[in-house]
Amino acid sequence: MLEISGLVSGYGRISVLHGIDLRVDKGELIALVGVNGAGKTTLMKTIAGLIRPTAGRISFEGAEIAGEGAERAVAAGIALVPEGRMVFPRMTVWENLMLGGVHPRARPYREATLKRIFDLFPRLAERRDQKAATMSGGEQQMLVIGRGLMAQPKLLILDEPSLGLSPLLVQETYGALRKLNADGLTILLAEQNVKLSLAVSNRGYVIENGKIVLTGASSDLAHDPATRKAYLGRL
Amino acid sequence: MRETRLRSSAVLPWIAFLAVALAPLMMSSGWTNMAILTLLFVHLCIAWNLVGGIAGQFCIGHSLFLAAGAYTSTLLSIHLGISPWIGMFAGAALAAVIGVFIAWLSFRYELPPLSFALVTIALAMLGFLAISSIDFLGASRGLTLPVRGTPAMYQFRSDTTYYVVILIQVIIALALSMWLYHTKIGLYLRAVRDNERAAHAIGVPVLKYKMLAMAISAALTAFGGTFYAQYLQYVEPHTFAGINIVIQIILLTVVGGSGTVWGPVVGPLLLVPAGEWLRHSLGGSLPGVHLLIFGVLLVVVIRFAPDGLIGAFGRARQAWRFRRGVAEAATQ
Amino acid sequence: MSGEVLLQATVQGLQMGAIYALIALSMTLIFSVGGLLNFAHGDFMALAMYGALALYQSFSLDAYAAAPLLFFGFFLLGFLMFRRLVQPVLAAGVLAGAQLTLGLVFVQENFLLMVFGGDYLSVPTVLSNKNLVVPPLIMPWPLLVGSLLAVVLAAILYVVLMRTDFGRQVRAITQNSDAAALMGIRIDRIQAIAFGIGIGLLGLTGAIIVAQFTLTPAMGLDFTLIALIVMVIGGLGSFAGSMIAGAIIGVSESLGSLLYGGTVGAMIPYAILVLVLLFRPHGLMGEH
Ligand SMILES: Nc1ncnc2c1ncn2[C@@H]1O[C@H](COP(=O)(O)OP(=O)(O)OP(=O)(O)O)[C@@H](O)[C@H]1O
Ligand SMILES: [Mg+2]
Repeated sequence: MLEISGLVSGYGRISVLHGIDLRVDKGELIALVGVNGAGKTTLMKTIAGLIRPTAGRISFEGAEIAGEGAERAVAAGIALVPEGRMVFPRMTVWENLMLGGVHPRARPYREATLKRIFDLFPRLAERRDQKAATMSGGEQQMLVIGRGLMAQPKLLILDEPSLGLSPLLVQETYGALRKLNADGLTILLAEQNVKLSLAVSNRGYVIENGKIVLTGASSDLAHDPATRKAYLGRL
Repeated sequence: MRETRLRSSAVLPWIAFLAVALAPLMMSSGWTNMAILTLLFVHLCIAWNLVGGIAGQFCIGHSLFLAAGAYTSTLLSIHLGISPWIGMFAGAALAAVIGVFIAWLSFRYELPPLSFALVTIALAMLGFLAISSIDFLGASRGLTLPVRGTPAMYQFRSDTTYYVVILIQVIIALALSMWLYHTKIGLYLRAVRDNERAAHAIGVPVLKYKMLAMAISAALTAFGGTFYAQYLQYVEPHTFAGINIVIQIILLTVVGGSGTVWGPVVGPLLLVPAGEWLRHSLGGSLPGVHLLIFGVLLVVVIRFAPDGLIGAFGRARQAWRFRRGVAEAATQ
Repeated sequence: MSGEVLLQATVQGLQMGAIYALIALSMTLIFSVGGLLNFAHGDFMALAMYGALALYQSFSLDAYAAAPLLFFGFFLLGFLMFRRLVQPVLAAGVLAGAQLTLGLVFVQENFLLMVFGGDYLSVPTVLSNKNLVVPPLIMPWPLLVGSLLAVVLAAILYVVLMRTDFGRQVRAITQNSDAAALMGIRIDRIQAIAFGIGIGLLGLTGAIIVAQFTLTPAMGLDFTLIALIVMVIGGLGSFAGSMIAGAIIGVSESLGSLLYGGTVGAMIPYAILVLVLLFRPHGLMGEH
């Protein structure tokens, strides 16, 4: 479904990613793990069209989308749930969700999708008319996930959804992701929380200094001595 | 290392500036008039640039300071017989006080960006309306200076003398602006412009330095106002207190490159003569046509070089160096 | 001073206030596009008024009939201008954007001076010089119709911004443009359309109030300043705030000039602005 090869990307003249190869197949839940500054966010933003790569290919369902911009990525069926809960602060929950489905590709299905999202996160339904800025961190995280789903994505990309959430909320969020994946949604998940993300995913990639250093089935990665030493040892 | 390169590259504009500056000493009076107007704008642009460019505070109230310089010296001369040579310091002091007060009023709180522009434009309009209606200030008719004809009263037979006076003013203003730019004051002001919060966080007394910049800028502008009033021998609200002259000052500075030392020099030096030339060659044909072309010229420069001619020049030079570097590398 | 005269001035001030509010709302719309402070705002309206004059002179087209035409013409002007001129400059910062609009003031004023000359001009319309008399009030029809249309247009603009997908996209870009891009919103296009609507509204406004004003090439700046004042006092982006601020400015200006003469009347809005900025910097009803 998503095929990335030789991707070089960064900010201005500084390259952060130095030749990334990564593949996501339909229906998979893939984890991308790495420490602070490894380049996870940069990779996700590049896939979503916010950053133009300097070299390499990103093909999605056979079409080349590298450097084509965010609108093209949304049109192709990619939704990014960004790091740091970028809600529209002075708009209501409902308005935020509506904007998630404003793209022509998603607009006809908005009412139906909205119902599904309210089922998945009943909290959002309760707070439909509340301004996003006044919601708690966990509620905002649900809101941005819901907003991403409104775009009718074929591939949902999440950047550190567990950041800053209480363990209970993390459980709830990951439960929702697992459910979505079971319903057929393909998911790419970036996390520092290695244990958790490898527990829910089918396969994983380990990124270090802008390169993929290790990849394999999540259960293998979780038991790989190198991963354990580098990441899990500290958890 | 960076400093020395800056110094050596600063010699070239000085030479160009002096060449242009000294030429009118040998020219006919029509040219001298134009040169005086040009240098007056250089002076006013340098003054505005201290606040509007280097400190990055978009002030539209400089007509108040211009008026303070023009009216104070004129009134002192008319009513008390005090020479404008002395009156200009009174005008500058008044302008500085007004400037500091405006800065204090506006910068006490963290106002939303650009609201300083709004406060100052409103105060400028209030000043204009007040001056236009107060009889003591000549209302909308203005005031005419009595002819006294002596250099001691700031009146000269020859335009060339006026030219020398404004030239000296410009050199002082330029030297002051260059010095300020490179001292701690300039550094702090630029820090405030680039990131006020960060400047505050590293301990820059932001309010104090903004007030200082306003004081210096206002006083310099007032000196220009005194000169202009004495040169024209009258004062009148549209010329000395209207928004239009501020808009011109801002645009000329922006076209040259606001926030740089040489931008406010280059802008008027190129464009005021160009504007006057347009007026001479087109002014008779249709009203406003020369100003229209002038305005379009300004807009085109802003469109293609938002950081001004100085910025565009710097980029061109960098590109040229880069290309030369590539060529050298290729031959090796 | 009789009560009737005061009432008359108050009503007239309220009607002017509605028009001011509409001009301020279109300024707010343009401001919401990347924070552009449009100093040429009133000049666009002056351009529209002269446009109405030209249409009348050339085709005997009444200004009220020309209003839709001017709306579309100015929408197009704004749209193209944003693409070719405003957007590239705005990319260099809001300060550069504001400075660009100062340049546009210069261009437009002198364009009008060149084409129409500096004399005072007026545009005859079907409503010109007609009054509606409701004792004790005498209301000029052009002002009455202009103010009613202004209220209607302001309400439409409000609904478009607050209740439609287009309006939500405009606000989304203002609030978080990175997130808006992630929604697949074409930022450039929405901004160009919003800017076009802002300028188009000025074309429309110019046409519907032209019968009330005498035209001079430099008239734009006064409207710009009034719009700035109303926009700031009302609090950016607040519909009710703009309406209230428009009324305050309109009435105080009208009563001020009645009681203390034209100059004081003209000074009052600026004095109010200075006071509000200094003591309530986010306006009367601003969201902050
Ligand atoms: N806007 C930017 N400009 C320049 N460099 C940046 C920018 N954003 C990130 N970087 C740099 O790129 C590198 C990778 O950052 P990135 O945000 O992709 O890491 P990450 O893996 O997402 O880290 P974290 O887990 O902390 O979110 C870092 O060295 C960072 O400093
Ligand atoms: Mg990250």
